[in-house]
Amino acid sequence: MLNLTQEERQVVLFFIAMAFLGLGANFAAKSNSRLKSVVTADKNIAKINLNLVKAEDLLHNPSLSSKLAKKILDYRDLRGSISDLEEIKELKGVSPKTYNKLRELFFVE
Amino acid sequence: MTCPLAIFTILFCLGILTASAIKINFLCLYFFSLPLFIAAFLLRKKTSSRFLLFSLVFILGILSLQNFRILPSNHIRKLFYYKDGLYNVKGIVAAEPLRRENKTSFIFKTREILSDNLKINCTGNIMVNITGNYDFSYGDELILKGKLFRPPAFTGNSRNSYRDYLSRQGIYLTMNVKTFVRLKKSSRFSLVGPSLNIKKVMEKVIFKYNPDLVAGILDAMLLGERENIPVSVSNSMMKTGTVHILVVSGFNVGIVAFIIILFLRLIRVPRAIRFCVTILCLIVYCFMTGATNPVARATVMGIFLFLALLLKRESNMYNSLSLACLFILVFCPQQLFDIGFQLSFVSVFSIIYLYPKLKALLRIEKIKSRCLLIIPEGFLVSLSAWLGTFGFIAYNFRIFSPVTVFANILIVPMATLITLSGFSLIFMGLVFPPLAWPFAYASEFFVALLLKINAFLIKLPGAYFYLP
Repeated sequence: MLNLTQEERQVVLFFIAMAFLGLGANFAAKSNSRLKSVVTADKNIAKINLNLVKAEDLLHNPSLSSKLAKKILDYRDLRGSISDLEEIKELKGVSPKTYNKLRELFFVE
Repeated sequence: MTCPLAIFTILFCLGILTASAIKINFLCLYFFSLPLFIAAFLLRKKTSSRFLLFSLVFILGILSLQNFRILPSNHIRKLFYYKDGLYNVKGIVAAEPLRRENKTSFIFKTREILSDNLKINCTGNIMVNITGNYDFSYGDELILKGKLFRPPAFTGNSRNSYRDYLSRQGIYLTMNVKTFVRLKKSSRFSLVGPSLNIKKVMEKVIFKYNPDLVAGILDAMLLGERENIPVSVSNSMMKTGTVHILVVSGFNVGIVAFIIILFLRLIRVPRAIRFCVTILCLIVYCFMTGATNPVARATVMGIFLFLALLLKRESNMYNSLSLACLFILVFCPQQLFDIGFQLSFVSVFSIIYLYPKLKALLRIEKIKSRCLLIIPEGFLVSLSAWLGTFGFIAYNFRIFSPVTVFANILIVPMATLITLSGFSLIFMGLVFPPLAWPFAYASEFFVALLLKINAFLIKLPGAYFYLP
């Protein structure tokens, strides 16, 4: 069925031993893994600054319609910059619910 | 015994199956195997040492699956509390994104998760979906903001759910992205990035010289990119059991190896360098096509074959196949339950095992003409593969296609011609563009013919049945 010579058997055993060692090491690394650091992050991280965002990027942003993006861009161009995010509440089509969603994704600075 | 690897592979697979059926403590089993090891080293008696070797490989299979299922404590799956809020996740794009119907999807390797103004270092992959077509590429570093979900557990027509499919790849969460910030491209060198860049160049050539439908089919057959194939085409090919030609498989890897060897031989490259270059090209091709199960299998088998030729040793197909199987399962034991993995290995095994037996049974070697011999040989290869796989297909996809054997005799030669003309088109398109057009027309003609043949086969009475 499996006629291995003594040398072949030792080679097979060597490979199996290596596999066992590798598995053991990986298991130990996983079991002893700890959270390395928990730090307070910048609250605006991953949020987009509406005063700096390029028109193209805002128009293609998946979280808001191109119509609303255009309105925000027109408003920004008209006023030079947006001083407070609450200003976009004044735009037509921005309901309190929409504003709350936008607040999670954008900021002004 | 000429194929010891086959026995070890079967035992390793049995170990994985056992681990999936019963829960065994990893540490208990690990320490239980230590005395077995010592005994295997010390024992000289053949029967008992053989039994110990078999036991150790079996235990290795169990431990592999157990270890694969254990997640480190900083895995993103453990840091996600089903909170209905937005998470910021920082990481890198870990696979070439798939763009389809105004949606971009990709595997994202996480590094940091930010929630409630806390930043935590994490590990693990997630599947990301984002509305719109974005030009992300492998290695891009991003911060994604969106909701995290467990993948849906619906099964559709298949017996496996999307959740099962992803968990086999070690992915337990999906993210619907609301917004993202691009950071920089990862500077870490890997062969994957350059391979995917070569693929993009090749895709440009294919789409430049062909209409969209033909280019989509060529893209799938040559480079493994299925996003541009209309669903109607894949569905009709699934009904005839020929959908395998729309993915890169061992067949394509064989053609790539053949073209490279032939080219290097023509320019008189020494034998050893020729084999080494071919092995390197096969690895690059494997990464280009997404290192799917069939390609990984064929690449390992190809490398094994070339190494055997290089070392002037006899190569054994069962050993090559077993090594390829072990190679994939050692990295990802859950793949044993993947239908793609099962079909890939079962079909090749059936061809290797059944084809010579059927050939001897029907005594087709009596046919003297080489041209005439191609037809019964093609039929038997197709029949062997079908005999091995129809049970798996019927169980998983609830479809039974008796037309498959006949369809493959017609369609596989067409696929060979499409693959050859497609690679010639890419080569000419890059080296001497004016000469690329004839190959583009040839590819278009063969693809049209392939679709016509397939459409004809579907209409045959009793071509396929849906099972309850």
